[in-house]
Amino acid sequence: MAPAVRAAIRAAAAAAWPAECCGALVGVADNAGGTKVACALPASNEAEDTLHAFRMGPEAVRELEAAAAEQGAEVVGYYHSHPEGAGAAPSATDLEWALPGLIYVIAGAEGHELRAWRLREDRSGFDELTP
Amino acid sequence: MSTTAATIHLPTPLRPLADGATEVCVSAGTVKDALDALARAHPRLRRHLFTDDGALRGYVNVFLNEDEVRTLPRQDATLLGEGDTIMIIPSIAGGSPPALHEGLERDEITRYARHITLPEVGWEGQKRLKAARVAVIGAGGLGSPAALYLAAAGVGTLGLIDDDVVDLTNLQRQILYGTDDLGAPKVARAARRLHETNPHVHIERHPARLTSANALGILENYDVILDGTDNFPTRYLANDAAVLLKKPYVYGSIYRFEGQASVFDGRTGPCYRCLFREPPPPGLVPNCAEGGVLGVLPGIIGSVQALEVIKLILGIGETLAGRLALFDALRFRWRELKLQRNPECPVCGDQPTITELIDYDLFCGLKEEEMAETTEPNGHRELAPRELKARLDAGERPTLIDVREAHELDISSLEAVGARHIPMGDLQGRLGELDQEEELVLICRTGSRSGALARYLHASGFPRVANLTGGINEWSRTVDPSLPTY
Repeated sequence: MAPAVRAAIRAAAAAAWPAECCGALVGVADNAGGTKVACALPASNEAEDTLHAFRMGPEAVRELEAAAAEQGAEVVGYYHSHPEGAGAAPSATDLEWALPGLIYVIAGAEGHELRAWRLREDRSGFDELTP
Repeated sequence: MSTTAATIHLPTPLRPLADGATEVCVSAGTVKDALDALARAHPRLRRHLFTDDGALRGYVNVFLNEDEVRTLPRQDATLLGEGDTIMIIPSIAGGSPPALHEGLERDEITRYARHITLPEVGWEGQKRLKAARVAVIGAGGLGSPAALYLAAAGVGTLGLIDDDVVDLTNLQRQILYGTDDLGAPKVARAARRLHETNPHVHIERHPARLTSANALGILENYDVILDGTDNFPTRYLANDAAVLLKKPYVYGSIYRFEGQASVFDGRTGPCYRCLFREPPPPGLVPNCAEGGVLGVLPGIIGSVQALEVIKLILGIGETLAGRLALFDALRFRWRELKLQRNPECPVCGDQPTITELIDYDLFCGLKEEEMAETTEPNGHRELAPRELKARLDAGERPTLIDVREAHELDISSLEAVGARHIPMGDLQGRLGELDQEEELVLICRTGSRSGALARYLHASGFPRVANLTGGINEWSRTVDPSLPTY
């Protein structure tokens, strides 16, 4: 994940505080079989209780994917923040709503802490990704 | 039921679980059948499409030819037509655990945002502040900034202890009050002002002077004791009470252009008595009323006290425990003295001799002074301003000596009735100028300093020495109201 992407997510988390921020991670697969996140695309939080939840509906997801495609890249994951100091580990709700294969970047309160996660295929939990 | 061929378009994240397919063709009767068929064809997809109960997962949005299936009349029981396209488009959602902010109201979350942002404070720290109870003894020069900052910081409960009313001379430094508050009880006005700053703070009012009788009863209800009084009896009283109650005592003191602050915690380190076992003789150290104080100085020292209280509550950083901070405002220097616990300290030492609160006025010599004033056969005389005025009007000419500092004379002076000026510090060296046979009347602001000097002169062989009772302020009140009091 490029430093500029980290900075962008931190800034988005701080700007949205005390609500949760959310957006897409746009990237490309690199030669080593990993994924390089090139930029973060902010989205509006459609959740009812934006202090404790985030949601990007299908329209938003489609728009984000289209925006990524315009750059010749694809959405490889999503980011959101945990504003209330819950830390940057996924919550039970995050687990319930997670899709396989995607990178989930979570920012702790105002973006102090950024951690990246991927859902296990059996949905038993997340594995942390090394940045 | 007839079946028909339909194409299911998969979102990117699900494709690897369908062997990389973008689209999957199935034969099905309804939308629901089609999704079941998809899960049968690619079993790794099933748990990501359906919950254990077989319901579609929340993030799975199914579109049939651009219409979201949930909005159709028959929803996923909608029959499929030839060549229909089913699209699965996910929602991306999640949330943070809701219980973490328990105990803080929504307004508080925003109010304390700059605190919570600090990793050293965070949610836990802010909740600790809210749960904390701090006693502020004296709502004056030091108590004003300390209480304002503690309230703004979100300390949940502040106990204000003060029996005074707001006086015009207070407003130069006691920033809890304004001109409208003159004559009103400080505790009531302070509570109102602090509520304006932060309505979430609970203010407990103690419109009383802290005494040996009430100190333990009041202070035992608080976690930290902040002393903003700046007088010796209360300082020793608060220190001893804090040691007995095993609570930290945050000390501050100001005089003219200099200030001091420290944290005395008898449980872990030195207490105030380890530093100053006994108070100085009364009258030797002038208080702020007598010596003056730069108005901004209590703002600095009181803020340092608030800082130390907050660090104590949060358990972060290094407090001033075991250190005495000394501030010289004119030269702008902070110095620091290391303090050692005294094993022979009478209150926090290994074998304490003070195990309950004592009479602190007596301990600090104030009672003796009062006794000397009332039982004067062997000491100096006390002379009321009215009596002096009558005698001056009758043509008597005792020697009037104003022992105040030069700057005080600029405020008010008895020069018009013949008072000489010999500042307190010079008197001892200028005794030769005085006639032992003559009657001497010593004058200061309130009669406190001059009373101490009168005793001293009487003991030094001046039999006819008197103290102007109540000082020049009392003269102003009872004889000449044209003189300002201060």
